[in-house]
Amino acid sequence: MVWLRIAFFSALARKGGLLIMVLSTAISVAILLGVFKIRDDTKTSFSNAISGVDLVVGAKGSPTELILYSVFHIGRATNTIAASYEKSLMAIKPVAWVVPVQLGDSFRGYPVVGTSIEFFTRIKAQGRHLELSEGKALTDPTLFEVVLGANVAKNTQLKRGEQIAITHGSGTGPKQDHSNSPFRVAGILKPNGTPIDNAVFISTNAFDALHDIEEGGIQFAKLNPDSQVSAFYVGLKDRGGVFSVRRQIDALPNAGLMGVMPGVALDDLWSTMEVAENALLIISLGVLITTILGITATLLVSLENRRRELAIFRAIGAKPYQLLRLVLFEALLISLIGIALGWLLLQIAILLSADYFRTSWGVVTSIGLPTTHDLMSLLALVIVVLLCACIPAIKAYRMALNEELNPPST
Amino acid sequence: MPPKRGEIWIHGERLQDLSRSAVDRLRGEEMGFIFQQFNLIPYLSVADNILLPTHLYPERRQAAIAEFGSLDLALTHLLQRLGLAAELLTQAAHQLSIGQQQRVAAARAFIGRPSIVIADEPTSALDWKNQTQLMDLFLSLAHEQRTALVMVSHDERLSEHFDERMTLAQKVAV
Repeated sequence: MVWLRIAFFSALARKGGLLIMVLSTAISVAILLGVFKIRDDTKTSFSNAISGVDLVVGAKGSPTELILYSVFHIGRATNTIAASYEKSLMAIKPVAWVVPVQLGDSFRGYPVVGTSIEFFTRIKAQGRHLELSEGKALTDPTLFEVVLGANVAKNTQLKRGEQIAITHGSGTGPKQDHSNSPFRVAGILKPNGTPIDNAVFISTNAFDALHDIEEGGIQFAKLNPDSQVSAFYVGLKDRGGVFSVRRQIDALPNAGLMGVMPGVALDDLWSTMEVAENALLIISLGVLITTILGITATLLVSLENRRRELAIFRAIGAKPYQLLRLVLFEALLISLIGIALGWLLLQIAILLSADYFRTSWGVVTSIGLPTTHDLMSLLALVIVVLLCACIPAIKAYRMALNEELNPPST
Repeated sequence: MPPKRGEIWIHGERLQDLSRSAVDRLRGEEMGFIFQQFNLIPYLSVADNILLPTHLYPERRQAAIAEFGSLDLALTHLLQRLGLAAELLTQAAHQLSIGQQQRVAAARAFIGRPSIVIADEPTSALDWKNQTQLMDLFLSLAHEQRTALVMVSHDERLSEHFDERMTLAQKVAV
């Protein structure tokens, strides 16, 4: 303990240079932990974009494409399937609910989702039920009601009760306004950091009606027998039955359907992003190595300034290994304070940027204690710092007890 | 640094025969040093500076405790003997005046009853009045603790304080 105190006071006496070292350690620790954090949180947010959905059912094809299109509204449109399969799906025993998802239209560039009322009660975003900031969800399937995602409402400045026109198609290219369709904003959702924020919701009937307009006049068919959907979200009474249900869906005669577990498909997708993830990791490792070299260099330079101090210790009878320990203590002190500060820095950065990440990237970040993975990496960092600090420490060890103690004789 | 000629014997042991760590031990455990330039650790408090040898060598600590009951009491005693105020204990060494620094250096050399204290021109940074005063203090401390005081000085006036004197003839510079 005495040596720890001596190391501390000694470091305090040379605080200028060491402070910069502590700061640089802090920054690189913050970067490293930040990269870990972003990676983990992106993955979780991605996986939690829809929760509560056990299977996504769509036309046979690429499971990843189906999830990307029907959940994230990105990528190529998948083949549509007949809306009437809803009944066949409900007939499968463990199935608790089925929510249709129709895609393909857009409103000012935001995807329009045709769905049922149940969408707003069944689907969870980031593990939480959908909530409205104003108005109500689609209540009457026979009305041309619109529910806006939080970002859509914010960017278009639309208020509840306003009339809007919904475009057919992707919203780019030749204008095909359904301007005579009298959609009215019924509700606005609270932001939740998922693709739902950027979508516009209407009832399946209204969605079908949009397409009927081309065939003349706006009208609701009682239940359009030709109605097509992009996918069904399916919830089960018992999640354990998911494999059996998936088999039964695949086996529905003449349907050409497949059931995809969102988590599995997203994991597949995630593994393709490993390259970018590794690039980030390599960059942060580079920063870390620079820091470690910096600490070593600082210790070496400060050793020159400490010649006299170390010689005094030797003169009083300190053994060389005690000087070695003194230098190692200092390296330990720098790295531990740096790590603590870096962690704090990251928490502040997360607090300040959480809103931005959530609304702009759909990534939910939160402050919290370091994970085991973080701790292991930090432990590795401390060990490497100590190993590198051995170079100046051994130099201190060898430092001869010489005439540093007296002024040059005249 | 080994001598070029001659031999150094301490406590019946020839220094050149000892291992480096044995020399370190001998230096820390049996000896105290007072330098011309004091050589206190500037950032440590007066108390920490004086206690350094006791931190390094348990024998020095035990000797101090055996003599005064505790390290704190040993500190107060030494400070009092050397005419330093007790408030100085918590001050950093670099804040002290030159005379105070040299007294602290002496306390560091004497704590825990080393058998030999070697003083190299300990008073030459001080004025004459302080020199004699300090010399008296050093000698009475050495006497009290039964510590041999070996002093190197160019000032022949100080030699009258000592039992044995040696004059080193001026050698030709190399």
